[in-house]
Amino acid sequence: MDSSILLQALLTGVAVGCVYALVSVGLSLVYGIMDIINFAHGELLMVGMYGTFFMWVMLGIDPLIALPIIALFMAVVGVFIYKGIIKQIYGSSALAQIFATFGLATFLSSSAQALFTPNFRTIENPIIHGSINIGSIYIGKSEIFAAVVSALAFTLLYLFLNYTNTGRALQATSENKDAATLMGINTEKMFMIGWGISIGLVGIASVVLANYFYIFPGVGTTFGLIAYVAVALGGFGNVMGAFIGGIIIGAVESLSGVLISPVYKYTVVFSVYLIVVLVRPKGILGRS
Amino acid sequence: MVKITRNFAIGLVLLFTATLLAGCGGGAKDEGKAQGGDKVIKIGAIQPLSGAVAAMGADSKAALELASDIINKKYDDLDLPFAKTEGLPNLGGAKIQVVIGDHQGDPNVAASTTERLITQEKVVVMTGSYHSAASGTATEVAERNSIPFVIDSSSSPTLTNRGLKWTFRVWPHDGMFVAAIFDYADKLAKEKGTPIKTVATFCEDTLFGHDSAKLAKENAQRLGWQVAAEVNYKANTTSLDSEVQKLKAANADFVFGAGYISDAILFVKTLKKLNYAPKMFIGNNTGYSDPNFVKSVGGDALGFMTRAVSNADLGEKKPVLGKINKLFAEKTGGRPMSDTAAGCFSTLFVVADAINRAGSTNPESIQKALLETDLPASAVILPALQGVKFDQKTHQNEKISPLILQIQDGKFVTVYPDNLATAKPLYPIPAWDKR
Amino acid sequence: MESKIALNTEIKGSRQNLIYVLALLVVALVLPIFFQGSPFYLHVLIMILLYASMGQAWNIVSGYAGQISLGHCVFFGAGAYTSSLFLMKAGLTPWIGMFFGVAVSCILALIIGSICFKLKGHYFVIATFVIAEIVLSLVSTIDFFGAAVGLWLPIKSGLVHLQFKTKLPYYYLFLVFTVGIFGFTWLMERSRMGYYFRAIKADPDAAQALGVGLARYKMYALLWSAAFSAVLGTLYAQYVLLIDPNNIFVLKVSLIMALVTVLGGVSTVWGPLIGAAILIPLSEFARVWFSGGGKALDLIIYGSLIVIISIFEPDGIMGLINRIRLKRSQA
Repeated sequence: MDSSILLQALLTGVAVGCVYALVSVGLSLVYGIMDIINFAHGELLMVGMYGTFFMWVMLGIDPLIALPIIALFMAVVGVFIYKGIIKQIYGSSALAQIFATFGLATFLSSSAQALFTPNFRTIENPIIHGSINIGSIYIGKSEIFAAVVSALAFTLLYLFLNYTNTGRALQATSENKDAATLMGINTEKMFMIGWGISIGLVGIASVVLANYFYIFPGVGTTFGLIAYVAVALGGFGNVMGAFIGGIIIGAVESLSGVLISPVYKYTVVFSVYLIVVLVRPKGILGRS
Repeated sequence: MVKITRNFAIGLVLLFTATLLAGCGGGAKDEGKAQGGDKVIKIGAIQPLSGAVAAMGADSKAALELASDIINKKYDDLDLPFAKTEGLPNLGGAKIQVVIGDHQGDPNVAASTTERLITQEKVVVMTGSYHSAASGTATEVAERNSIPFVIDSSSSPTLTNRGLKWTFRVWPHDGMFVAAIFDYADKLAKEKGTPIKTVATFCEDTLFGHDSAKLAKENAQRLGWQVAAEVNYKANTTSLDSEVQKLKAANADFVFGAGYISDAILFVKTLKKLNYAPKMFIGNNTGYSDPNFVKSVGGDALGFMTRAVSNADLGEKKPVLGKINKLFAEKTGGRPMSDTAAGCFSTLFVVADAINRAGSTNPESIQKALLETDLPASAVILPALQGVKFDQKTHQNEKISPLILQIQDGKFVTVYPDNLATAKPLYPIPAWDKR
Repeated sequence: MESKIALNTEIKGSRQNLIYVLALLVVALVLPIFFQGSPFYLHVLIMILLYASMGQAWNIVSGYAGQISLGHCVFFGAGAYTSSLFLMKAGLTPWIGMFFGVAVSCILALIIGSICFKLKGHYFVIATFVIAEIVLSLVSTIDFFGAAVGLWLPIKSGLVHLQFKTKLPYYYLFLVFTVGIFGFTWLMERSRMGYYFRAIKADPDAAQALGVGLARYKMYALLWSAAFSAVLGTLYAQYVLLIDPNNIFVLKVSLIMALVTVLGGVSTVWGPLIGAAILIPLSEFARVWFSGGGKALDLIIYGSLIVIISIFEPDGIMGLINRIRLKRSQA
């Protein structure tokens, strides 16, 4: 096999992996703080994508400009979900927690189908489009944009978590809720902020994705699934792990597509997950 | 907390009771009395009204409603059977009523919906259903109940190969379609002096793509071509990069594709991104002939071909088609009439014709009449149908000659057969930097 | 928080309960006679029995033993595919094929269990789901399994072929199996194994400290669950006569198995039946009334229902009933 094909696959894999990474980071953050998996994460990505689409089709706003608006909007949505649903099931059984967000996911995707029809939408000719090539390697500008934005967003998050008081408080809550409360941290506020940031990140991912991907009610499912795998791979609760996990999965998916067969792309990804999780049950960078 | 949970409990009990009661009552709606107290003949139809292809199902529903309207009312300027009369003449002007059920693409739901239509709504003929798996179980239910089932849009060859006596199909099956595609590819390439030696397939991984890929390989073998790459991909995947890379590496003379609308759109975008334009591409309908495909990537999909049974631009060569397209657009607020919808439309006329000739609503008489069907091309609006005549054993309509369409200037033009062609085919597809 | 209420009030082998159960059985036996002329209603009843049983099978490992699986479609599908393949390739009657289905399903359970039980909490749930996706991928691409086309079963008729021309025999067939699975669950609840399951769910570490072999009993729960799911898979295949991977090995199936139980009440014998009796008519009739809009209304209702249940009454309807009973007996 031609090495340029492998290189191409690796590059495009890493590019889409950055988007996976951004989606996964929010999931990991919330888990770390609250020990709750948001099974509606993928559906929220879908909501953000529709938001981006409607801003473009009804108000003529390009995704590039809509980015901060949608990010903020989704952050608010995150807070609402926390207050309306998550707060009520915090402390409930694992079953209740799983099904609460699962129910939300079903509700969101079927509502989207009822409201927006199952038709596929695409945003045409956004400001960022086209591709560039270096030799025989081609990469879409939208994808580079997505990767750059993801990396940037993650860097900001990392700085926030490690160098600001609120961020450090979040980390403390994540490590040990009881100790954090004893230290005077308002854990309730941390939860709210955590959800806001988590879904805000999903909002950013949804905008960069909507720039080149098609939008339909079920679009969130695959991305959500990959996010869970990425988070588990990197170690639940570890934000850096989730980011790396996402990129690894993007690369694995792409490479197995060319090396093995495109139909088995996800089979390989899932098998990798199973292997890693068995060999290192807490994930690559998980807290042990 | 107790008050909330008690109210909740009461609410749930009420919901359950209401569901049961309403279910018993709800089944009895739609007793079917048309205005004027005329006799009404019920025809059942199952379509995918929810799920991923709900838009297609909605179009089919609109087409069925339009067709039954034309049959039931007087449309003096339409050159179709039953248009100029009201209702079915041999049954005293009795009107037909199409009762539509949703099968959701699930064979279990298709079976139970068909059963409900037959046993509760008392339809005398069934039609449907787009998804071949849904048609699979539905036709068996019809067989058990001795009710004719006329397939209007499922293309799996298996459906007419099971020896069912009550199943008929107006629509061509994939065996015919894929053979027609390959024959045309062969013809076009030879005409331009560059005969095909290698072919690549690009099919999605559910029933439809799987069948298409299999048929493609058989046809390639028949024509002595080498399969340079067989790329199967997961429907609704997040990225087609690796798949397109494989195609690019194979660089086959002809690429055959089968996929749904989302993959088709992503495919074209990925082709552009990775700078690969196949010399010839023909798709097996579905995604590649979807009006949304042209709308989204029509400019970039220059030269993409697909097989079809109808095309909007044939309004001139077949005036009645043009008129029906217009009526359909009026009814649906501007939507173009897709292949599938046109198939449902035509099938209803075939059914009406059979019932009329039978002169009764007795299913056995209708079955006999269907077997004797011999309609000319003018009776059906689909240009790919040269008429309707069912093979006596398989009950498959034999008078088929599929069309080949090509995207030029952001819309579909007909390039084959020659007597219906509205444009010359573009071959080979120009490379991206030469457009 | 586990509902200790459910733990106590369920286990009452009183005569009054027996009378209730017998009455229900009589109703179940006689009910279809009212719907004789309407195969559609019989179909709904059959679906209620099917999903109640599937829910109960899921209940054993995910409700009682607390190992929440979202990949149970694998066991259901294993049963359906095994017996159907034997039927189509070797002409074997599904009655025997059923046993092979159970065997395959149990082998899968052993493999899946040994992989997944090493994982904790959410890792486990996701792993079960991921494995189901892998199975879907494989079955829909490998020709031996019929690939994406699925298996179209030959039409026969008669008890020996486990196929009937009318719905009534199917109803009684499903009823027999439902009673069997529910009976098993009732017995299991009162057995040592059942107590171990609940101990593992409530506090695995304490259970282990008291000598309950965690791995062993989790596996027992999964094996029973897989076996029953497989049997139901065979029955389903013989009812629909067309099984394809995209309608069998999918999250939708796993989800409904879980849903009817969560709605009705996990870790209870009646839960799955109550849940099925509500959800199934709801979805069947929602389709009849609302079809034509592509509106997925029944799913919107499901989704909201689950969220509401999870927030207000995680123990489902049985939990609600038990809570009211307790309040009454304390008053």
